[in-house]
Amino acid sequence: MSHTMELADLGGLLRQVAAQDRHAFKSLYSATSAKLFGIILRILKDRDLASDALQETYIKVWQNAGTYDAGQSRPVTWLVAVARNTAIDALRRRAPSRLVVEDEDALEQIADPLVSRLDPADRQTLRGCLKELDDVQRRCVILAYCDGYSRAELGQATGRPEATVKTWLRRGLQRLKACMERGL
Amino acid sequence: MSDAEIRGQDREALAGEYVLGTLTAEEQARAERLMLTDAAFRKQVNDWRERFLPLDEAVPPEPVPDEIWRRIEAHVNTLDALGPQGVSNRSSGRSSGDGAGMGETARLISLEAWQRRARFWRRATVSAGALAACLAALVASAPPPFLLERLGISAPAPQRYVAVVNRDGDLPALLVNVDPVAGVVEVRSVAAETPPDKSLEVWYIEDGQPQPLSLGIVEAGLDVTRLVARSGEVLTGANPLIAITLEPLGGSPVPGPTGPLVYSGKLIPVE
Repeated sequence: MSHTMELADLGGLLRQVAAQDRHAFKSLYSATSAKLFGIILRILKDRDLASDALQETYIKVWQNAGTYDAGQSRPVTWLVAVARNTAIDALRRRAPSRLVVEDEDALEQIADPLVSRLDPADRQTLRGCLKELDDVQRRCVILAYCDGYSRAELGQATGRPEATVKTWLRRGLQRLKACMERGL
Repeated sequence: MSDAEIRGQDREALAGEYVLGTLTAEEQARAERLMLTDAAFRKQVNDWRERFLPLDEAVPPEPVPDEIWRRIEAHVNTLDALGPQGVSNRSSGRSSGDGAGMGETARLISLEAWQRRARFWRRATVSAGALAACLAALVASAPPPFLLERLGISAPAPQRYVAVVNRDGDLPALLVNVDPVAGVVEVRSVAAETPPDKSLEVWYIEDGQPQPLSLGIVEAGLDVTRLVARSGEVLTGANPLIAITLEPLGGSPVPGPTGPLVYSGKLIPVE
């Protein structure tokens, strides 16, 4: 399959999948599965769990493509949302929370290379605005988004109460939004 | 706090944290409720998704094992074969109004669930909490020899297969013995319940199959029902399963199942 996520007409494929077109479903899978698998694997960090979540993602796509609203979001945003939500759901179903508690150094390592990997061209805004956040806000936002950390896990990682984490996250989000809107 | 009381800044934070994935289960349910009813909130959520999307776009693609597509295909085949009635929970449960919500799986009797269960037993690493969360899935377990003996299935010949067919880990409802060489399928009723105006239909399922194969109807009131499977029709593919659906009296009027799946079990070779 020569499709990639960037080149394929994902909107057209989603419409065909909504009409239960198997061929379009295969094309959509070929164009998007490696990318979605990368995103899911980053959150779940376990190939078996990630494989299950990827499978579940495409079953949802098959069943819910009809509810995708092109006027509301881009196809890629919707597909990534389905994958992320499936992965986070799978992560939260695991009980108890992950045993590995990251220390401050690990937080550092995870947070910074990720920001620098962003495509500099049109990602200046997010990149620049993440850098504008306080360190702890930025780390919490990135660990939550990229690695699926819950508030409780962020609390464990930082040694602070969940309520404090919640405040960091919300202030971080607020500042991020304000900054990105300035940049537009 | 009711949905109506969630005001400006709180809504923005709720939308942002929903996309971050850090809401508690209760807050998440509130967010998904709002998404169902409130277009402005849906837009806030989508705006947050767009803001963070570059972090996903920065992830390198990861090669996907070929097996995953085969599993998806088999699952979709089963969905199609079971039809809308086979999907037990499609419209219930949490839903975000845009099809992308968390927990928004059609919880059906799926190959995926069976396969996951099988892996669960192999690895035995999942906690009791996760086990409870999996109760929507069906158990496929190997029958212990003493049980087989007590039920009169001792010393079966090689190349036979048996499935303990049950629901949610309950005691076995049926024992299904398959001799693929002789083409004989023996269904022994242990505790299966059949409503008077319905029939229990036996289906054979394996990976890559276009749709479940009907093996016939369980004779209500008989301890043992003998059915015929043509040679080459069964036990040719991986992950063979027996599934029992509730059908109109006399069986499904169409080639595939129409009713809900009530019992299932994995077919395993008997030594």
